[in-house]
Amino acid sequence: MNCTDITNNIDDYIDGQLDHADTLAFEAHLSNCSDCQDRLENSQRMLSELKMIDVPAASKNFEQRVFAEVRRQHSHKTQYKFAAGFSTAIAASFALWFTASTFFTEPLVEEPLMVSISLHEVRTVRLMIDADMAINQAQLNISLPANLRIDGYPENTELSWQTDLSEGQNILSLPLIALEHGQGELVAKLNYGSKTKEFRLSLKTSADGALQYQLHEMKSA
Amino acid sequence: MNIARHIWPFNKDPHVQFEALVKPHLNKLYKLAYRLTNQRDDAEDLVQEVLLTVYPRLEEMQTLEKPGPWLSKILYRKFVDQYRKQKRSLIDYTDDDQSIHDSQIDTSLQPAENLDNAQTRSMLGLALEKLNEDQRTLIMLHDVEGYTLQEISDMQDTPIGTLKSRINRARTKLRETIHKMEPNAQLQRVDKVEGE
Repeated sequence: MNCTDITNNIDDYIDGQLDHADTLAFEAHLSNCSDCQDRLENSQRMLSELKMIDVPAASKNFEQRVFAEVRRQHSHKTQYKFAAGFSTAIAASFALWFTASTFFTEPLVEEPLMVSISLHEVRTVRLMIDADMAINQAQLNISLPANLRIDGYPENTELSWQTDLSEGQNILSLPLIALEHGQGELVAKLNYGSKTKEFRLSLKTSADGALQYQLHEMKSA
Repeated sequence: MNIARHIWPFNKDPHVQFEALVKPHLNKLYKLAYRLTNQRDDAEDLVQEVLLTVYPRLEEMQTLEKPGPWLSKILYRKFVDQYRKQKRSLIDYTDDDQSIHDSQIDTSLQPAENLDNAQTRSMLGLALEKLNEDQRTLIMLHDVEGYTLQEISDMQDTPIGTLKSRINRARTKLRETIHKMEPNAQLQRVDKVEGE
């Protein structure tokens, strides 16, 4: 490379876009050319300075103001479909209940849900917990089939933690990954005080990679 | 073990849901809007319009694993469709834009002595004003705000290779403009040579 080549390739070099051979040629020229060393240093400084150009803070109460305007202009009640389906049928006799849904927007029906998933692809299943009052430090336990994991927890088929529940609907979002074909149950247990609620979801991958969900059983104690 | 971050209150009020979903992205949206409009009031208005636009799409938003890029894309499109059209017609910005080629740095020029940061920053602000709006936007998105080429490609419906070329040209123009702002650039080189 000569000085013109360096100039023409300097951004690709900085961005790591040059292939190995060009990178070596670039650096070989650089090691013997103080002008091009200066060019590179100035370019890197320029990019570094660009990152430091700040934005003035938004005006006071910007956040409150924009959301208030959304509320004002969209004041009509929006029918939210998510809570329909399983929840209404199941909820009647429980102060606390679980329901299952996915991130899909298709109408939910009281039939087994069928969701396509490829192996090693994250697919989120959401459990809804409707609390008739705020609950502090409820214990949640999740047990997974052997072929499934929650994204970010590759070693665990059992997860347990404490969380607070707000009055009303709370959503537990479980990003599931099928590591291999198989079937089993996802079991979610909520414990607080002497009360336990249990939710089971049948899960299996089909031959074509579709993960089937089926609401299987609910227990309360 | 803590995956409690995966649980959040789910109020039946769609406005509460909307705000919980959008709030984490509001600052980034504002910054993006400011980078595009370069005016605080315009940036705030742009964000406001985006929120009003996306509120009816709450359910769609809740299906997204990453609503941030989706919101950014809508904001960018709204900027292009509304704000920018108010100020000028869009430039037909093609790869063989001769005016941009003409501004490529003259490699016969010797680079100036390394500039200190304050100098660079001061000249950088002026040099950015010399870019055309498309170039400035690209530099702001990619080099200032750190949006990836893929994210910008999604926003602008432009191939990554084309974006990369445009960014390189914009950087070249910045360098050239900064270089021209150095009244003693050539003199410094002469001094250096004479001193060797």
